[in-house]
Formats: sequence, C-alpha cells, structure tokens
Amino acid sequence: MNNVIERIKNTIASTFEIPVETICDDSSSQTIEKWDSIGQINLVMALERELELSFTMDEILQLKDFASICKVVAAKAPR
Amino acid sequence: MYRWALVSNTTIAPLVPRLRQAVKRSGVDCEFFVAEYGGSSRQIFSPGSDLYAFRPDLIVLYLDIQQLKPMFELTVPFETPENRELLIGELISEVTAMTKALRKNTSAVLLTNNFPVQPRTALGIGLDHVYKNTLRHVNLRLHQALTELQASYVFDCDGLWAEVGFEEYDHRFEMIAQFPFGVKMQQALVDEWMRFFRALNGLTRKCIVVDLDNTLWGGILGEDGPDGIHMGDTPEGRPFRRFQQTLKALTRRGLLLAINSKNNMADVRSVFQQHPDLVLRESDFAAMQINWEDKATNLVRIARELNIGLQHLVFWDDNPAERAWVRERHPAVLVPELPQDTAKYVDVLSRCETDTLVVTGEDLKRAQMYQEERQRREFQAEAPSFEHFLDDLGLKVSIEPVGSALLERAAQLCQRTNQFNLTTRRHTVEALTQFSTSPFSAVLLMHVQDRFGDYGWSGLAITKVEGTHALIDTFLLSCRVLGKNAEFALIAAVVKWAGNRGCTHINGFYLPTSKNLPCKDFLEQCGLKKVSGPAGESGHAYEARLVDLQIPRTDHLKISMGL
Repeated sequence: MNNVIERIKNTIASTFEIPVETICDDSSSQTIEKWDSIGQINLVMALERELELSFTMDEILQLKDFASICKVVAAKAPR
Repeated sequence: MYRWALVSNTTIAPLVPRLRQAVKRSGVDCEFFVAEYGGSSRQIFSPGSDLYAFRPDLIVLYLDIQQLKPMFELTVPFETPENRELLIGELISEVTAMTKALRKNTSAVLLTNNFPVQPRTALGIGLDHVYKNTLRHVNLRLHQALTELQASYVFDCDGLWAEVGFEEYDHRFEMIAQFPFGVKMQQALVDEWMRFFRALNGLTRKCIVVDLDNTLWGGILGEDGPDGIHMGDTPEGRPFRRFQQTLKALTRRGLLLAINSKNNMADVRSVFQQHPDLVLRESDFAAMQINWEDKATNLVRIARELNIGLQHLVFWDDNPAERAWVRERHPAVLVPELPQDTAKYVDVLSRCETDTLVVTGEDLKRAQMYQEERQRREFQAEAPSFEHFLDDLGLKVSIEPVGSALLERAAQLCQRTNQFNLTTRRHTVEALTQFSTSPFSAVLLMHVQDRFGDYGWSGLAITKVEGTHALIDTFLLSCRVLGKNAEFALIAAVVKWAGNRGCTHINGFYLPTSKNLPCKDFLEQCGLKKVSGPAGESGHAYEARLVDLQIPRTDHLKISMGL
C-alpha cells in the first residue's frame, strides 16, 4: 500500500513540476500553482497511466487533494 | 527556431506537451504559443495581439462546433431547407472570417479542422441524415473556402474521430475543462498535425525499400520457384496484389521504390520479365540491392545510389529479425512494425512519414527521372575522366524569373532542399509570390537537362535590392544537379540581374545547419569575402563588389538566361 502512496506522490510531483518532499495531505489546487482545471486533466491522465486504472466522473470530482486521492484509489476495486 | 501557435475556441493546451515531444523527436527546434482559453477572438482579430507578435510559422486553428452552433445536431433537423442554407452560410462565414483575418495578419501556414459528424444522434434514423448531410455539406464548402487561401490547409478531424471511435470522447474531461479528447484521440490529433509539420519542413521520407519474399509476393522465390509464389487473384495472392497496386499508385505521386532482398538476381529478373501476376515492374524501382549481403549495408548503398539520406528511407520487411537488425544499425531509417497479416499492410503505408502537401509535375515524372539517372551513372562509370564525363553530358541550363505556374515547384524546392541551401528558409507559395511580384526582388528558377533527360526545375535564387546592394535571401540547388557546376550558372544569373538593377555590391549569407555543409564555401568560391553580419543573426555574412567577383568557369554548360 505504501508503494501506491509513493507512486501517487511521485505522479503529483511530476505532473505539477514540484519537489516530491513538498507534498503533504492537504496539497491541493489551492496550494499548487499548476493545479487548475487543465492541471486536473493532466493529473487524471498521469494517475490513470501510472496506476493502470480509470476514474469515473464522480471519483475525479473527489480528487481534490493528496489525502483524498489516496482514499479514492484505495477504495477502487483491483483491476 | 520554428514557431508553432495553437488557437482554439475551446481547450487544447493539454495537447502541447505531447506535441512538444513529437516535434523534439523530429529533431527540429520549436517554440510554442497557445492562445489563452476564451481569448481566440482577440488573438485572431487584433493585429497587435500576442499571437501575431509571436511571428508564428504555423498556426493550428481548432474550432469546436458546439461553441459556434450549440446543439447543432438536435436543432438543424427541424429547420426548413431555407433556414438550413442560412445556417450553413453562417457557419462558413464565421470560420472564414477567422481564417481571412489570420491570412491578412500573418504569413504563417494555417491548419484548420473540419467538423466531426456524429455517427448517430438521439433523434434516430428518420432525422439523423438531415444533420449529417448538412454538416458534411458544411465541411465540403469549408474545405474549398479554406484551401483557396494561400498556405492554408484543412485536416480531417471528422476522419480522425471515425478512425479512433467516439468511445474516445472523454465526457469527464469535457465537463471539467471543455477538453473532450481521450488519450487515443489526443495522440491521433498530434500524429495528424505532425504529418503536416513534416511535409512543411523537408522531413518527408522519399523512398520505400521493400523486401521481396513474403512482402511483395507470398512465398519464397528461391524455394517455391516462380510458379510457387503468390500475387495473383487468389486468396493467397490478393493481399500481395493489393499491396503492389498501392505501391504503384505511390510511385505515381512521386514516391520512390527500391528493393532490398536476399535472392539471386537472375531469379528475380526472370520473375520481373515473365510473371503474369506482377503489378510492379523493374522500371518502377529506382534502385535494387538483390544479393546475400546484410540488409543494413544494402540500405546505405541504396541511399547513396539515389543521392538521398538514410532519414529519407522506409524499410519494409516481413521478417522481424531483419527489422530489428536495421532499427539497431540505422536509427534514422523508419522501420514500421508490420502486422502478420499482409492484408493490413496498406493501412501502415499511410503512417510512414511520406506525406507531401502538393503533387507537382515533377513528382509525377520522378520514376522516369530516376531511370534516366541510372543511365547517367552507367555512362559516368565508362567515361575516361570526370571532365570528359561533364563535357560529353551536353548539359543545358536555363534560368528565368518564376512564373505563377511554377510557384508550387519553387515552394517545394524551398521546403525540401537541405544540402545545397545557403540559408534554408522554408518559403511558402505566398512568400514567393510576394518576392516575385515586388519590383525590389526576384525569384529565379533554374532548369537543367542533359542528353539523358530532364532534371527539371532544380535551382532557385531569391535576390532583394536594398539601395545599390543585392542581397541573396535564398540560394539552393536540388541534390540531383550537384556536381555539375550548375550553381555557378545560377549565381551568374543573379549577378546579371543585380547589374541590370544598377547594383554595385552583392551580399550573401551562409546559415550553417546539420545538413548544408556542401555549400559552406560556395560564396567564397565565387569571390565574395566574409564581413561582419547583422547583429543577432548566427551564420556568416559575405560581400563583394560586382566587379570583383570571380565566378568559376562553366564551359561545359550551355546557358540561357531569360532575364
């Protein structure tokens, strides 16, 4: 499970071009400059590619910050 | 630095990283500009906008019909025929107003989409056809209107959606940021734009090199014999027949074919001469390497024989081991991954970086020209010396200002010539028209022929007058006429033109690229001397007084100038 959390962190870091160490539970569109609506799309594409899953619309709307992303991913049934 | 701008009435920014990567792989340095969301009108219609300040070379205009005519698919089936005509007219006007403004304010190449026709709507079979045929009608008229503008092209977005499938319509991304493209469609768009980009930048591949056994025909000639190979009207033969027919059509538009096969030349020759089912003939191939040596080395020989680079070749072989071998030895050669099923070859043919934008008279004669070149090479091999060879070739050169019928060929020369090209400026037909009609500049085209045949229009020089100085903006020679000293005839024509306009000095420029080393010393050879150039430009500037020039002799050329 830790591995997945690491992968999510790395994906957020590379999508928004920020250092991995700066990511914490409430890293969100409010705290990260490139996380606008286009950033959201880029993040979804990167997560789907990295974790080999697809998010529904509802799930995407819940991907608001690092903590909730981990929660949503954990709740998804394994592919 | 190539400058690529994207403008849209919806969101397209997420495509740029993918596009940037694709351009990077092509080896061209490129800067991008994306009009901000909601800002497309301002960028297009204000002459002082950031878009125009960016001085783009290429503008992709992507228009979402939902922003222009919301719910078009649900409203148009209920309109009267007259109102439908009005709607069609409004759509065309809206789009052409944008493209005309772009055309007026920039000389960039324009690339616009047509509108995707949804294969079905909720309204059902009784009414769907009204929407679909109306939109298809719009697309036809749009294509006509847009391609009437200079340097303006349309890409078939409708076709891309049909190919990729509407499952790729990403409703989630559409809801979040008005970006309805799933990952597959994003790639399809980028791939399609890259086709135009390559055609505009001299990156087109010029020759498909094919294997024979189980590629051009079913079976192995050496084992099955000429009667045992398949390319006729049978289930085994039809896929190969279709492949050959498609290759043949490609030669008609100027693409070259070559053979790279492990076989006995005599066996292959007898198939070419006697087999009733063969669609391609020996004369359709510009070069043949039929031997038992390694195929990577053969490719080098083919490139050298045709006087093109490895980057111009596509290697087509059914054997995965051969493909892997060539990929490793020659990364510059395109080696498409081939399906097991020969029937699927034809689809792969459209994905081989061989696109050109215009087919000229030259293209249509190219196969014949390569035949003539083979005869020349044989003659040269037999000549006692190179000087003898040149003297006996009977070269004739004629140089004249470009007329409107040859503007396409002139643009093709600018776009494709890499080796003997002093400044590598990729002028479009529009730019060339301006140069050729202005009283202060001239576009000279050079035609070359010899006793074996015609090289066609294969040299170009653009000269501008500034006071008493003649500036050479562009000076290039197609590689097929290198080594014949024809370049000295062309510069002699430039000098004559400059003298007629009262110029006392001539200025030239050499902008080094990875490919134009062959002409590095040309200006110096003609007697121009290096001077310090305009600030901010990389490259070398040259100057001389007209009276001081020392153009090498061209006694073996018969020159006529229509200046």
